[in-house]
Amino acid sequence: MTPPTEPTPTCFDPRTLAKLAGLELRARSIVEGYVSGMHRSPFHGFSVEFAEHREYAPGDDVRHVDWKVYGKTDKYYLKQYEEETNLICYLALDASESMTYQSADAPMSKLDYARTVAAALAYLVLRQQDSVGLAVFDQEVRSLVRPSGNPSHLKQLTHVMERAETGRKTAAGAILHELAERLPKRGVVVLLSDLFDNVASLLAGLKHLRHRRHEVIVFHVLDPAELDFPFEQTTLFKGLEAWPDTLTDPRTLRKAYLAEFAKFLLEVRKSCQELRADYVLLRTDQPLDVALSSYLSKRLERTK
Amino acid sequence: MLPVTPIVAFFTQPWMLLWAAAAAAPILIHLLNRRRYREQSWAAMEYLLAAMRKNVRRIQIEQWLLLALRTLIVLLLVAAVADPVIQGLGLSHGAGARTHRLFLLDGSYSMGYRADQAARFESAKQVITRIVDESPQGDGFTLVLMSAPPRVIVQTPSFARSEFLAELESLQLPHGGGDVAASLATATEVLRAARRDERKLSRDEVCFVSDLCGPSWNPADRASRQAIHDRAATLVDEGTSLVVVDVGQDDPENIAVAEIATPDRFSAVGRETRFEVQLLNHGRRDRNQVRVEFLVDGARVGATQVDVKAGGTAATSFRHRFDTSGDHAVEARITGDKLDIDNHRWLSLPVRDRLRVLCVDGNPRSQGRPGAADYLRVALSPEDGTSDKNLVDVEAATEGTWLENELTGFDCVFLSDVHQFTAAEATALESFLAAGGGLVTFLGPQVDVENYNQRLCGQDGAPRVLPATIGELVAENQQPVDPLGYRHAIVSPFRDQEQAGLLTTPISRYFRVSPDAEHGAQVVAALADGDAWIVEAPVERGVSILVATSAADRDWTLLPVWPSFVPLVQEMLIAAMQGKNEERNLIVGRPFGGSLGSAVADVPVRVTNPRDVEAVVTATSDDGHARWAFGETYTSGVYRAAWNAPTAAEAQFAVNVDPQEGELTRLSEGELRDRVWQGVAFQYTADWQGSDDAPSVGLSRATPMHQGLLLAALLAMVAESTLAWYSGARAA
Repeated sequence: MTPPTEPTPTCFDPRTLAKLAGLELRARSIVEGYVSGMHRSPFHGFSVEFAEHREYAPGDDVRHVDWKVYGKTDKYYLKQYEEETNLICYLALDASESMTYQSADAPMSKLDYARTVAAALAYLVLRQQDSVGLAVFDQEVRSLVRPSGNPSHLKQLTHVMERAETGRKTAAGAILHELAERLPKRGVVVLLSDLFDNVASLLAGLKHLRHRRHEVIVFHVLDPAELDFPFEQTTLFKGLEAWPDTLTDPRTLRKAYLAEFAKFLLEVRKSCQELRADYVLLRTDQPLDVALSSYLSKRLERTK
Repeated sequence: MLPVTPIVAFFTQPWMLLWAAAAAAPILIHLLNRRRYREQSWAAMEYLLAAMRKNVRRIQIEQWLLLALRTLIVLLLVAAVADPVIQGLGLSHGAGARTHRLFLLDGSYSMGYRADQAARFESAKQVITRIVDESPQGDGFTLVLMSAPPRVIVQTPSFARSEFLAELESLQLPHGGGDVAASLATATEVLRAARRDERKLSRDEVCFVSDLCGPSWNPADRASRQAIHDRAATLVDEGTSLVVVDVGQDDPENIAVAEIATPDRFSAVGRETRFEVQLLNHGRRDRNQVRVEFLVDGARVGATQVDVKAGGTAATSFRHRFDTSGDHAVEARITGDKLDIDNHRWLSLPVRDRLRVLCVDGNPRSQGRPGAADYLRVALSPEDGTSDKNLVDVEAATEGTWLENELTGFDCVFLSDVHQFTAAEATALESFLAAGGGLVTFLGPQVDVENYNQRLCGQDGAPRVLPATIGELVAENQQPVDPLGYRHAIVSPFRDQEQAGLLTTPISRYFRVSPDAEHGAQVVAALADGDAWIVEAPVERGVSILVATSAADRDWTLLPVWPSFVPLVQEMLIAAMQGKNEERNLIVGRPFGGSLGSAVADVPVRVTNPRDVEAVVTATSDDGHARWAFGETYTSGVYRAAWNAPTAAEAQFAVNVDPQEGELTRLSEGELRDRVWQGVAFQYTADWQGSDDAPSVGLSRATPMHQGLLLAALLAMVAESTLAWYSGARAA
């Protein structure tokens, strides 16, 4: 068994990642660094019908090691079952105009950050021999990639994400309803969005997914400026997604804005809690391993 | 009932108000900030708009308040720098009108009193300077020095303050008294002329700056007091406001040298002359051991100490022997009080080595009969002509030749039994008297009464030479002489000297004379029936004495051989010469001058005043006799006059203050209202002293506002900071 190596911190830094050209490359960079530090995969399947053996890879559950084969060959093989894909992960990526926002101090836009996280998760899932699908949406589903466990599927996913069109309003609530209807098998739905939508509609969508017995993970991607509101000068705020422009002295409004925003975050968080959906707040200036490790380690704890 | 005092606010540095434009800076910055903004795409607009909706009203109010406070701070600072003052003008007119301010500056010498470092006069000038400085732009100023007589210093309203103040600054305190009534009359004239010529000055104010001391404000005669009241009332009736700024102090202590004189009436080289000095204590405390110093020609010759009771006088004396002839300045001085001007007194004393007397004999000796002037010559010079004691040089002349002599060279002319006079002779005598000469006229049997009265008594434009007109001849039995109480200086030496024979002088014939009382003639001695015997009168600067009887004719009188004759003639000589002495000693403000004889005209006379400032006056001639006069005797002390024609000569004149002006008891405001200006509306203040940074001049009291404005600006800054902090704390 290969001992886990310490992850290189820079490989999770969004600034460093932003310099990497493709999503796939970013995903690999993150996951390789991250997985090398783990003993078990956070995802696992539940099929019982044996199909074939495959060679052990670090991170695999040792419970599936075929000790008989090990006795004969002195090599680690895992038992493969009939059901190849034991987990279906649906990535729902918000590509609305609000996701393109990138403040001056942020290394990348919210969309870039979400795409990177999505790609990393996809890679991780595919590495686990599980299936991953993708839905890119704004006020409607723009692209839909069916789940697949083929490792080459990552290329397609990243390709779709990179070419996703932006510039429209969000309607996450309606999209979640639609996904709940369209996803054939129950699985894990990972929503990557800034959730700048009607909160009630959003929650209704999440509720619908939960009703269909999907696990729901909400990655709430936000720019640090949206969380800190650091502006000092008089500023003309140009509203994205058809919001009107407004000229104001941001210093006089900071406290009130932060209060309004905190109220929004609390509402979302509490609603997720009530729906037993996982909620992860991601700042785009935050190292991506934090995004993944903080959540995945928690998930691992839960599935032990 | 006093008029309501309006308040006027104005800025002493009005041009600084231009900086008020800077008050627009916060507004401009605000507008500029609104124009200069950065653009920012924003996703979480929903929450920003929600925050704005809930706070927009508060933010707007806070921003407007901050803007208002910042603008206010700038305005307050600018206003403070412009040094605003609030001033009560003491006028019944509406504020904003342009004012003609006439300053009546007290020029009586009590203003020389030094309370602290500065004399009252200097304080008064500071008061005027402050009022001028604090007056609104456009006001005009005139200045009258309240002296006796008043002097107009700035006649027409001056709008050039620096020039007006320069004129004021150059003004020096004269050493005379003050004439409030005359000054009010002068002020009225100046105001009326200004009203006529300067119509833009719509209101008038007369500002008295005075110590309210001495007889000038409280004259002894009722007419003057009434004039002070009436003229002030007239001014008020004409719409003029009266303001009195009292620069006096309640410290009436003052001691003055009231008099210095010599009883000897005639001083000669080598003879001891006695001087009597009188001190006058105006104060309420006895002054003991007052040191009195005596100086002759500036050199100290003696000193003594004198006690002077409060309100009383004290006398002392000293003696001095002069070594040289000519004019000598004798001074008595004291020290130790705050009014120095009356601590000195000077006497200009002509000291003679010889006296020149011209004796005109109208009836010269003939056939054993003595001439009409023979006894006189002996009486004038009783000693042998070669004796050291003989001081009088007598020159004889006859009726036909006496005018050939230049009279200006003589101290005195004696006429004895002159028959008659020509017009030229009468004019010459008049000129001689005008120059301070002495004339003693004895009558006699040859006298042409009609000619005398016609030529010498001022009738029909003729010269006035004699002190009396001559009437009919009286021939009676011998009459005793009435010395009239020995009051006159000529006969006073005979008091208690009956053996001198004055009373028994036999007089059997004389002319009845009528003294010219209108011109100050006095009867020196009379006869028992009341007819005047000897009459004396000042004529111009000289003295003329008329004796109604003869100086030689035994049918008329035995006077020439009587024991009283010599002393009587000697006393008449001295009395006749007093004109020359008296003209050297005068009161401040009176002119002095002299005659240079008939031969010259347009001669420059250089006069040096006590401050060593030289002025040149020119002798002019209008009747054949060159005379000069100098009138600018504003300062007490010794004035020296010198001229070069017809011969180089010089003379000294002693100019002294009127010691009564040294009375420092001043009028109170109540006395001024009740006794002087009863029923006359005026404003009064004694609060003229102010610190340099806060000038406060009486009724023109200006209250500085800059400190209050700075405080307000500071408070506004604190309020702005607090509001900004509060606003930031709410927003942060």
